Amino acid sequence: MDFSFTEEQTMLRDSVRRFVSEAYDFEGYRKIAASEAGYSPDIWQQLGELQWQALPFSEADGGHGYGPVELLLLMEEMGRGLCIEPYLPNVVLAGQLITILGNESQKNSFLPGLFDGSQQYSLAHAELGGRYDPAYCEAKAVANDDGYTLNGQKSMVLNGPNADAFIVLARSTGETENQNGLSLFIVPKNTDGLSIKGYPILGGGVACELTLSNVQIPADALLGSEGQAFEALESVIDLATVASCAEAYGAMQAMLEKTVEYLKTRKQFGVPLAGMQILQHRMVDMYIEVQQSQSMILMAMLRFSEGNRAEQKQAASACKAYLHKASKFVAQQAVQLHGGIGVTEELDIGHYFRRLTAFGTLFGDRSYHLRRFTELGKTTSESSKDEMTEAA
Amino acid sequence: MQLEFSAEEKAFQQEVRTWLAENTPDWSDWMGATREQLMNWEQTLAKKHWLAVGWPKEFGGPGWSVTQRYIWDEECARVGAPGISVFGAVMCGPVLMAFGTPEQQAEHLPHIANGTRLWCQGYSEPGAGSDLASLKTKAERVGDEYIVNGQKIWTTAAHKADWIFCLVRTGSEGRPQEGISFLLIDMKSPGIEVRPIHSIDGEHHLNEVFFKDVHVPVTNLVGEEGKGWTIAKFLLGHERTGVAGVPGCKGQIARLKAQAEASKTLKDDASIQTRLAELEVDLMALEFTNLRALEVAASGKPPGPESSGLKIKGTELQQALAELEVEMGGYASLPWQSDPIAEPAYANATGNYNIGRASTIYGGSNEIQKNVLAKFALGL
Repeated sequence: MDFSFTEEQTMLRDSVRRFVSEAYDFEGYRKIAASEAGYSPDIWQQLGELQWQALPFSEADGGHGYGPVELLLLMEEMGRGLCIEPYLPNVVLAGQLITILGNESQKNSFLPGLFDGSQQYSLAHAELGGRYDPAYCEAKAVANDDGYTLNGQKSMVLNGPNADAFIVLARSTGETENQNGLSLFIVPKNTDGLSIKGYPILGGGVACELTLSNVQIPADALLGSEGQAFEALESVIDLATVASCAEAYGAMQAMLEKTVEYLKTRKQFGVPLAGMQILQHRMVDMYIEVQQSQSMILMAMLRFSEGNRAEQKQAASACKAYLHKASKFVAQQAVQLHGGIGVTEELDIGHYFRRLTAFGTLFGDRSYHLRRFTELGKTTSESSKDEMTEAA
Repeated sequence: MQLEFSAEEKAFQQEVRTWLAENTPDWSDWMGATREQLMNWEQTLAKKHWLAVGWPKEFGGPGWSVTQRYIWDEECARVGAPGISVFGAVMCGPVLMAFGTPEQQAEHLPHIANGTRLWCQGYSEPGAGSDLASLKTKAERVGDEYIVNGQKIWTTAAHKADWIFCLVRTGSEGRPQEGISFLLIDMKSPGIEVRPIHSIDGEHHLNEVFFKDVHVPVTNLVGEEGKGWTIAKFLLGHERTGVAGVPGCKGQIARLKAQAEASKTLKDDASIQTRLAELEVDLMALEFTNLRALEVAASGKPPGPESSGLKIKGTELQQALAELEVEMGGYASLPWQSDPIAEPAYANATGNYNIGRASTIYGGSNEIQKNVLAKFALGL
C-alpha cells in the first residue's frame, strides 16, 4: 500500500496549477464564461501545444501513457482555478470512447486533431426520459445498404455547439432501457438531418440538444461492435464521474481557502469574523468535508488504476455520492460565511458555487449513485456467493 | 501509488486469518469482559507479539508496516475479534517510548507487550473536563516521593487496572498548563479508592478514583516535572487515529446489511437501504482518511491536526450506525438487560447506542476537536 505521488505526478500537478493560475485569472474567466463559445479557443490551443489533451491516452495511440491518477490531478487543478475549458467532454468522454472502441483507421482520423486542439468531439448519449441511466436510449439506428439511418433526440450534449463531430448513442435492438443493443456512431456536425440547438449551462460551458432526423451515415461510422457499446460507455461515464469529482474537490479547496482568508480580514463588532467560535466550527466542518473528499479522490485514483470493473463502478458511485453532498455543503457555507458579497456576480465565490451545483447533477446525483451503489453491492455479494458455491 | 497487496502481504494476511480462526475467543467486547478474560486474550496475542501491534520490534512489538497493520485490523474486524485495552499498548506504551527513562521503559514496556499489566488513564476530574488544564489533583514533592491528593473521574476500567497514568498538578505558577506533570501510579498503593459509575447502558465501565496521601516514587515521573501537558497532547494524537474505529464500523455495517437482507420488511425498505448506503459511503471516506493518517504515523511523523477530523467523523459514524441498528430492531431492541427472546441479533443494540453517546465526549469532546482544528489546521 502506498499513497504517495511520484515526483513526475507532483510536477505535473504543479505545472497545471501554475498554468491555470496565470491563464485563468478571475477577470479572464468572466470574459470566457460570458462568451458564446463558453471556452477560450486561444487557451484550448495552448493546452494542445502543451499536449494536455494527449495526456491520458496510450503511447500506441499517440498519447502520453498517463493514467487515472494524472488525469484526476489535472482535473483537480482545473477545478481549483475555475478553468472551464472543455477538457472533460473532449478528452474523457469522447476521446476515451474513441481510444477504447475505435479501429486503427478511426483512431488515426480522429485522435491527432483532438490531441493538438484543432478538433473537438462531443458524446451525445443522454436523453431526458432516462435521467442518468446510460442504458436508456430511445434513439434508433437502422442498418441499410449504405450504412445506418439514425433517428432520435439527445439532450445535454456537453460542449456540443463546439463539436466538429458527435459520438451518438443509438439503439440497434432491444427495449428502451436494455443494456444490450446499444451502438455508438461518429457523426460529423455538417451531416444532413442533424439539428443543433445550443445553450449555455450553469457554472460555465455550453451544451446542446441534438435532433437526428433520418441521418444517413456510412457503415464505417460505427464505433466498436454493433449493439455492444454499453460496457465501454458505462466505463467512460464512470471515469468522467470521478474526473468531475476531482474537479469539484479542487473547487472545494479553493472555496475553503478563500472563506478562511476572507473571515480573517472581515471585521464586524470591531473584531475579525474568524475569531468567532461558531464561524470557526463551521469552517472546520468545511475543512473536514474537504479532507474526506480528498480521501474519496484517492480511493478513486487507486481503484481506477488497479481495480477490476466491479470495484470501479462502486468507487465511482461512492465517490460521487460523497462529493455531491460534501461539495454542496462547502459551497453553501462558503456563500453563507461571505455574507451578501457571496451572492453577487462580482466575487468568484458565487461562480464556484454555480460550478459545483452543476457538478452535482452531471452523470447522476447523490440519490442516483446511492441507489446504484446499493444495487452494485447486491450484485457483488450475489456473484461472490456464486463463486463460493462453485468452489464448493 | 498502489493499493494491491504484495505476495508477502497476502501470505501475511493468510497467516493472520488462520491464527485468528484458531484463537479468537467467544466474546467480543473488551470493555464488557472480565479482567481474567481480557488478560487471557491479551496474553494469547502477546505470545505471538501481536498485542502491541503499533510498536517497533526493539520494544517487543511486531514492527509492522502500515499495510500489515491494515491487514491485521481488517482481519480482526472480519471475525469480530475482541479489541484490547487501549490504555497500555496504544497510549502509555508510546508515551514511555518517547518520553520515559530507560528504567521506566524496562519496568513497564515488557509488561504491556506481554499483557501482564492492565492500565487505566487518570485525566478528567469533576472540575476539569474539556478544560483539562484546570485539573487540581495535587502531587507534592517530599524527598524522593510525591504525595498525591485529589480525584479523577470517568476512569474507564480502573476497577480492573494494575496501574494508572495520571496528569497531576505539581506547580501553580504561570499558565495552568505549565504546572502539570505526567505520573505513573501503582493502583495497589495505599490511599487509592475506586468507586463505580454505572453508565446509561446499565453497565460498569467507568469509575471515580480517589487519591488520599498516596506515596509515589519520583522515579515514576515521566518527562520533566511541569511538562506533562506536552505529553498529554502527544497522547491525544495517538488516541485519535485509533478512535476512528474503522474496522469495527466495517464489521458492523456488514452485519446490519445482512440483518436487513434477512428481514422481509427491511429488505424492501427504501429508507433503510438508503441510510445503509449513505453510511457505507461515509465509511469509505473515513477508511481512506484513516489510512492516510496511518501512513503519516508509519513515516515517524507525529499525527497532525487531521487526526482530530478522524475522531469527529469516526465517532459520528459509530453513533449513526448504533442509531440505525436500534431503529432496524424495532420492538426487538427494547428488551433490557435480559435474555433476548425474539431477535438475538438486536440484543446489544440499545446498550451500544446508549454507551456510544460517550464517544463524542471522551478523548477530547468533538467540540474541543473543532477548536483544535480551527487553531492548527486553519490557523484561526
